[in-house]
Amino acid sequence: MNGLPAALTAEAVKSVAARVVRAASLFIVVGISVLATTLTWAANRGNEQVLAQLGPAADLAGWDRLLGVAAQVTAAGALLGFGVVLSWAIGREFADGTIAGLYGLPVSRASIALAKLVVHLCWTVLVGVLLTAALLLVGLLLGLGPLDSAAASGLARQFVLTVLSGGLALPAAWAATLGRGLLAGVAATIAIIVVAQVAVVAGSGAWLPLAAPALWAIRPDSVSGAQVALALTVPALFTLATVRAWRRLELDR
Amino acid sequence: MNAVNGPAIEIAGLTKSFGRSHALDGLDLTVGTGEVHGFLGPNGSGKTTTIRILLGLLRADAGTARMLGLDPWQDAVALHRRLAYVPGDVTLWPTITGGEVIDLLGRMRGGLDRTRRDELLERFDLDPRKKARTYSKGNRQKVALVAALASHAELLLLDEPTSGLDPLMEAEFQRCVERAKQDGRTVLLSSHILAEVEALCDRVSIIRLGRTVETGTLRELRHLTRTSITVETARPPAGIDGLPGVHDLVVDDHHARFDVDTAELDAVVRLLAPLGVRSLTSTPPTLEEMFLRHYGDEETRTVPAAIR
Repeated sequence: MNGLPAALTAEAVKSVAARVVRAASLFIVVGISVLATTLTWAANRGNEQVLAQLGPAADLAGWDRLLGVAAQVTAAGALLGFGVVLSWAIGREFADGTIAGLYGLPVSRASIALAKLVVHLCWTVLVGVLLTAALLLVGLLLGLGPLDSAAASGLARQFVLTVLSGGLALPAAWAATLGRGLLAGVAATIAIIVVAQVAVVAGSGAWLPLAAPALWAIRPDSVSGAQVALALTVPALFTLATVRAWRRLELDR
Repeated sequence: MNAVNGPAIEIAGLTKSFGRSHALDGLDLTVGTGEVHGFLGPNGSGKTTTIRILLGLLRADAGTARMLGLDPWQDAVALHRRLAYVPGDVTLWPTITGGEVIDLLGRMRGGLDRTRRDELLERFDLDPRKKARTYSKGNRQKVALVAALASHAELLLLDEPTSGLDPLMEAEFQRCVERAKQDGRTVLLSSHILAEVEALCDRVSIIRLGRTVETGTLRELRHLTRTSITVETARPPAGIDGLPGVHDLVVDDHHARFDVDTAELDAVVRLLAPLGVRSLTSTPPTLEEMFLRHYGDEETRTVPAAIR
């Protein structure tokens, strides 16, 4: 692709300097850790209201309960954070008017779009590492016992869930491109969260790529490997759709 | 710099509509290699749409556009390696510094001349360490100008590049464009500041409602318009009103003031000479006068007689 390394550098510099990215990282890592800690601590003390809200995680104990709660919060919270940042990364170029200058550079539009998505992926991996590490620390501080293989598997699933949540937010990039602004991307993110939550409540989440990763992270035996793998079709399809939309885009409004 | 055979920019019959609004209606434009070309027109005349088509940001509905021998839409990336663009209202990524923006743009354009960059920063009195969000409009404009002028681009597309700059900085800008011309670069300069165009441009194209209405050197354009004459004669200046091409004649005793079509100047001089010319002032039309006269005439023609 024409100019991809230069576009990657530019997008990385912009993301590192962006307050939005830093705030979202803090919101996802610290917010989810604090929420998971508080809920687990309250459930461990037998708080009926909290136990009623935890759903399947209420039946778990120890590391499983902490990671189950974290997965539930991640499924909605991390997806929201990733979707908002991705909408901002794409939509702000249109809203701020920087898109004309960006398109005037000797880098193909497809490369610019792909660079944005690659930087987003790298950021989600970093957030996944930080969140997993934070939850490990929380588990040790709460005295949930030694880190056995089951707990390690749970933490690995939490990491995969976080990164997949970043991938599931990719329709926001496509929507922000078509809508040429932040709002369309945020609306798409909220729609994804609502659809995933409704599918889980309706009991058909395992076959829905938007919901399967969270169900798998909470109860790995309830979702097959194929169903989790199906979730990868969302980032794959919307990467193609976003890059194609950028390639064909004209600044005619 | 790559050699370009023929014009740097060649546009013929370009049309572009946005819904029912016709932004370009058969626009023609030719910019020679190494030339500084003024691109004039009022707001909404189609200048920015033309530049956006040249940048490959828009596709024309009809007509042809070639830049440095390439197609602006199909060959956008190859072309953008050879050109630099400065818009009239520069927007920057707010959280990175002006210096980082200049370096980023330079890196994406395949490198910039760092000595030239530092020299330009000094000339434009720009602090590159400040975050872009703290810059005024003028300083944002300077960032884009430094990035463009420090690049190795052989073609500069400048769309009202000095809007927001103070007169001192505008003078610096003019020196930079003169240097770019000496370096053999081609410049397409869209501007509202006619004195700037008059000072810098080899040729000028004036567009209106998406069509080119005048194009040529300033000398050629002046030839098509009127010269203002103020004369004092020994004998009363009779007979001037009978000459073709004389307009707005005011005679006061031995003084006369009038405009004359430049093509009819010779007849005026032959009539005045036998009257005993005591003083004579001849003022060629400024670009501003040409511009206003052209648009004034056009507006008069388009206003229905009933409300004129």
